[in-house]
Formats: sequence, C-alpha cells, structure tokens
Amino acid sequence: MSESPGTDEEGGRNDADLLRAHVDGDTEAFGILFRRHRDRLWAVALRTMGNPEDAADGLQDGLIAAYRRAGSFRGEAQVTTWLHRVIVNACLDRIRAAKVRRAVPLPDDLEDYGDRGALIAHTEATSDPADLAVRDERRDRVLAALGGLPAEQRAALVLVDMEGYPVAEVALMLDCAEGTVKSRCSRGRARLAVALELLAPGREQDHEPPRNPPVVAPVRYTPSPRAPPPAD
Amino acid sequence: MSDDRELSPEQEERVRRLLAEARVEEPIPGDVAGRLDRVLARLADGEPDHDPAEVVELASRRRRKVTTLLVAAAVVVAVGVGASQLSPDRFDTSADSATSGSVPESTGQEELLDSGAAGSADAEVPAPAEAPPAPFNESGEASAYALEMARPTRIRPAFFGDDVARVRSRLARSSLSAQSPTDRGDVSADAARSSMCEPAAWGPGDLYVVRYVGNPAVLAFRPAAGDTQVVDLLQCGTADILRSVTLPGS
Repeated sequence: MSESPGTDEEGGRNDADLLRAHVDGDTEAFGILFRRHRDRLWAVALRTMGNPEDAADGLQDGLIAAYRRAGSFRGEAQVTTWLHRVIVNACLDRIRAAKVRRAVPLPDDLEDYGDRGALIAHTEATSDPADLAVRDERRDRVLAALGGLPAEQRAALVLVDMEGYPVAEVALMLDCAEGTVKSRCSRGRARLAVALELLAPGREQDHEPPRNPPVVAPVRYTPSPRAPPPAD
Repeated sequence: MSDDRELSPEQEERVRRLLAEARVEEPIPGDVAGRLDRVLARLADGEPDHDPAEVVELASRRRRKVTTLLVAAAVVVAVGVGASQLSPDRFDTSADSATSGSVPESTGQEELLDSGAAGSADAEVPAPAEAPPAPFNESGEASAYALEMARPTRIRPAFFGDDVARVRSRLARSSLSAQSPTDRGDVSADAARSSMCEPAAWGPGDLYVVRYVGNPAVLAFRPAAGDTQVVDLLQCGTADILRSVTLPGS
C-alpha cells in the first residue's frame, strides 16, 4: 500500500516536506507528521506487540527514535515506509528484550479497549448479537494464534495481510529481502492454519464450531505417582 | 506447530482473510495519544536544533559542561586507586574535571539496532575541557581489583531494556548514600571508565560508560518526562544513538 503523501491543512506540506522541516528545526513539523499517521502506526504496534501497554511503549520508543534519527532519512523510500520501519524495529526490539521473561502476549486489547470505540466487528452493518459474538470469538482466536508466532513472522503478517502493504514495501520496512518477507508470511500462515485447525478435511469455511481457545503452550503429561499399577 | 506445511491457495486465502478481519480499525486510544503528545512536546522543548550542521554548534556549546575525562586506563595503575572508593560506572555532565589522552578499548564496529538507525549527524568531537584537574586521589593503592571495578558494565543487545533498567536501579541505590560521584569518592573510577570513551555532545542527563558489543559506549539517562524516562545508548566520539529505550519513571 503506497500511501500518497498527505498534506496538512495549514501549509499543504507533504510528509517529506514535514520531515525536512523538522530536520531544519521546525519544532511543530514532526508532530504534524506523526499525528497524520499515528493511527496506522498504532495498529501495527498493537498487532505486533499483542497488547496495548507494550504497544504504547513500542510506539513511544519508535516515536523518539524517529524524531532523533530524522536526519538519517535519505528519501529513498516514502516517509511512511521509514516511519513504519522505525516503529516495527522498536517493537521487535522490545519483544526480543522481554522474550525471556514474558509469556506469549495475549490479545487483551479487546478487553482493554472494547469500550473506547467501535471494534471492527461492530462497525459492520450486522447487528445480530450472535454474529458479533462469533466474529469476536474468531478474532480472539486469530489474535491468540498470531501472538504465538515468532516476532518476525508476526510483523510480516501484520504488515502484509492485516495492513495490506505490498511485499516490496514491507521488505523495506523490515530491512530484508522480498523473498524473506514472502517466506515469513508463508510460514506464518501455515502455522496459523495449524493453530486455527483450518487444515482438517471437511471443514466448512467460515463456520467456527464452539471450542476452547487453541493451546499455545501444551501442558506436559505427567503420570500420577499414585496411579494404580497396570493390570497383569 | 509446524511451519513446513504447504497450504493450498484456498487455505492460504482463508488465513489471509481471517487476518484482515482482525485488523485494528479503531484509532489510537486517547490516553496513548495524549502520552505521545507529551513526549513530542518534551522532545520539541529539549531539542530545538536537529540540523546535523547545528550539532557541531551544540557540541561546542556543551563542551564547557560535558565531562571529558580522557586519561589512559593504564594511568589508573600508575596513580593508584583506592578500591574502597570505587562504585558504579557513573560520571556527571556537570563535573568540571578533565584530562587529556584517550585510549579506546576496542576498534570494532558497534552493532546498530537496524540499518536505518545509522546516525547521520557526524558531530564534531569536542576538544577536552580546559584546565583539567587531576581526577585521582593520591592514595597510591593501585590494584587489579581497582581496575576490575573500573570496567564498564556490559549491556547485552538482546537484553538491552533489562540491562539498562538494572543499571538505573543500581545507580539509584548508590545515590541514596551519596549526592554525587565526588561525594562517593569514585572520581578515580569514573575517570578510568571515562577514558575509554571519546567525548562528544552527549546532551542532557546522567551519563554512564558501559560496554556494548565489545566496545565502550555511553548510557544517557535523559531527564524524566512525566512517568517515563528515555535512556539512549550513545556511540563514543559521535554521540550517535545506537539504541534507545523508554523506561517507566523510577
């Protein structure tokens, strides 16, 4: 998705103009630029991190990094691509740092932010509570499975399949080859398909029977020491 | 969970559709937006100049207050350091002490967070501050232990946030018993550690020499903004930002 450079209402400046103005010392320019794109950057951070708190931290890290490194932007990509790159890197850095002490992030944004605005399911025409419940449950399961993926695969899927950016642009955002993006997406989708049990034969499309959430970390079976001895 | 399985086009399309349905459509929450606005305001207040050409000017302006302790680590042995006087890897931007000479510990390249992080601001390395008083005491108690204590703390790339938080906690504890590095009597250790890092325009905040990917670097604990504190890892000699993390307020 190659966004056309937006313009602000005041000066008609596009993204590149604003970034240049920021580097030249305009103290308002970066704020205008960031506010212009922060909803999409938030979306990427939220889906990459898995929960609103970490997403806010990652977005803030990325904001500060972008603010301070603006001089390194060479204009070889769109400003939005560069911004996404900085934000995603900040998020991945946080995930790597927390890897050893944090369990798989859960998609708790539904609970935390459910009362703050319309969720995707609620924006659609359907108002059947049963349909909404099914859709929300499906989304929960997708997000839980997404949270179980390696961070790099998750970031690739968020950018390509959720946000709809072209592979070539995502390759720039993730600083890797297009083939790597495709590979990460392919592997990630395959893992999701397994986690969501989409590979079972005869499954009716878009119909999710009621079930427990997918098991992300399987519980090890330990025979009870008090079990009766096996029969002869 | 296997990732070797080939999906049929239909299966792949279905996964993609499910992902698209899980896209975030709602705008950024108001509290997060407000927090980021405050950070932006702080950045705008604290860093009025961003033109790389002006970094040189900033550097020269800050030269007077930046600690530039440039003594070869070997001098520590010659002059001697009281082991009991050594504590955290801290030196203060407001200190006046400085000497000359520099012995970078390594010539290897720093590992950057991402290629986009390569700093472009080739800040001029400021000259050592004038009238440098000797930073060492005259106890003459040089020891290997003293040198070991003077070794900068290692910051691991994979645990950057955790290690930085640990350094901050340790420094906070040490500051409970002393108001300044001089009060703690660890000026000598500060000087030894500082000698490993070429000076630069570090910017505001408390500075600590650490080791990162085998090379000396400086952790800059920026002034806290509200309930958060930004900590930058700066490259010796240029103050290019290698890494950055936002910690909750201490």
